[in-house]
Amino acid sequence: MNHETARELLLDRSYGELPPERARELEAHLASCSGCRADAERIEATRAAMRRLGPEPEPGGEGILLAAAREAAGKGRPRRFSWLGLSLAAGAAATVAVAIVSMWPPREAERAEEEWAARLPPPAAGAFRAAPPAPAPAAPEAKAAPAVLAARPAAKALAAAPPPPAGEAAKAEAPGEPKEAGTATVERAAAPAGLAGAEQSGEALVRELRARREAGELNEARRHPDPCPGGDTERLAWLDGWGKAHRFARTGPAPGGGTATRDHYYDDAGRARVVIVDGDGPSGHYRRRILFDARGRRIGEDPPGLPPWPASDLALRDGAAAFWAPQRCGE
Amino acid sequence: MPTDATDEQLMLRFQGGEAGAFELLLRRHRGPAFSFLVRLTGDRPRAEDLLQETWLRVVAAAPRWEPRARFRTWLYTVARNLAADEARRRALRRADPLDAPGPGGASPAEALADGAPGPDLAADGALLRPRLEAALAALPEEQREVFLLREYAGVPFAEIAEITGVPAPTVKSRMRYALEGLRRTLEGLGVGPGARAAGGTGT
Repeated sequence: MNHETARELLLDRSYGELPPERARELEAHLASCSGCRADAERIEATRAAMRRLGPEPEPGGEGILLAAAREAAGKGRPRRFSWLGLSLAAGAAATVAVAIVSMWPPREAERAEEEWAARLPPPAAGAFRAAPPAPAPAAPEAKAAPAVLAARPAAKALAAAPPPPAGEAAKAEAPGEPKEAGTATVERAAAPAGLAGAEQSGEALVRELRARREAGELNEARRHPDPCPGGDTERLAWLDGWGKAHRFARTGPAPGGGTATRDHYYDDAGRARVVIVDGDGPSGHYRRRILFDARGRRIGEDPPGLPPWPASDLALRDGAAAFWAPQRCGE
Repeated sequence: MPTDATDEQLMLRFQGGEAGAFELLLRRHRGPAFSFLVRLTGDRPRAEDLLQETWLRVVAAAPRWEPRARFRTWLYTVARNLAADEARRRALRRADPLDAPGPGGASPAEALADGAPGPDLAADGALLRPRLEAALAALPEEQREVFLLREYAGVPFAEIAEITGVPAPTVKSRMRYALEGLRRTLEGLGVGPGARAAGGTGT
């Protein structure tokens, strides 16, 4: 065994990943190579030092996840969370004063949403539906997962969640759930392409949601979270009969200084498609519009040429969860 | 419920409608995943958001999950990609080369290096932790994620290759650089293996 090979194997050795035979060869080499031994000792010493960093204390929020899991397990349809119900179940937001401006019978809301969904630009669900049935699971180390991983760099931006490991490309691209009958059959190709198309879709979405709100189909809820440095000063959501948010706006300190309102409009799959940021910063008042496609990828920002508004400052999924989330203080 | 079930068995049971199986997965992996995210991003509130989002995606995608790749690989792929996506945007927004600014906004390693106490002080637990964190934060992200996954999350190199989407030899070479970088930074901060030997106080 030469030095190069030995050096490469030192890591496997340190982490116990070396097959026994290889390990014996390496030990034999180490016995006769002081340089390699020194390398090995450096590795062990550095690891020993770093291991003194214990685990991070876990944050709260487990209750929401367990409630989500229970709901998913119970319904067999995990995408249809009732966020309102979840939050209440978790006890997180139950005590917060909420002004429900108007209520709407769920049945009517459901009908309205179906009609509305049928008119909306189709979400990515078409791709999911179109995906062929998954091939029968074979050997545990099948090639599917690496293939998907290799394909990912093309699909960047917000499509950050990888597919379930066995997913195929088409399937992989569809974190969105299959739609209710009526939308699932719509071809994705029907959606207007490019930025102009996205602008159209975005404007249509905002118009549609405003119309629904005016018609009383969506309930407006507001929160004034307890004031704290770095926290939101106001939140607003348009909730449907299931507690799902179709619009979520929050006002609070902006990343670049000053204060801004981030106003999110969500599509039927619960993805933010249009975000309007309206704020006052060190250089005065500004207003930005950010567009996302049905897969959650950022496709345009208006005015152009500015650095993208940080996604971490936005609630790109699950506006209701963001609306009910506990206040976060401090920066 | 037996707790020696594999992650994959638990995931299948969760698919079958057993919410308790998910709870076991959560107990097993939530803490390590959070440590990973905190140290990867250097930002606790952001890590909390990412952690929540990661697990919500696990719940949401569970019906389509198939036990071909390990659950852990999948979980860390989700977590890592969510974090990487945010880091990319952040890096674009601020032209700041360090994507893990410390509490003061400056490089944590630099901040701590100022007037770094000797090994005796550094050996004290309360002072040691920020130094180790600073050493991690000083690593380039692609090295840091490999080190975090292997050292703290216990993910083998082959799985790290899947998670990060680079070949296994690249993973190992990043790991080598990471260990080398950590060693140097720790020495600079007075907590390196060499410094500890020089200090000789042990705990």
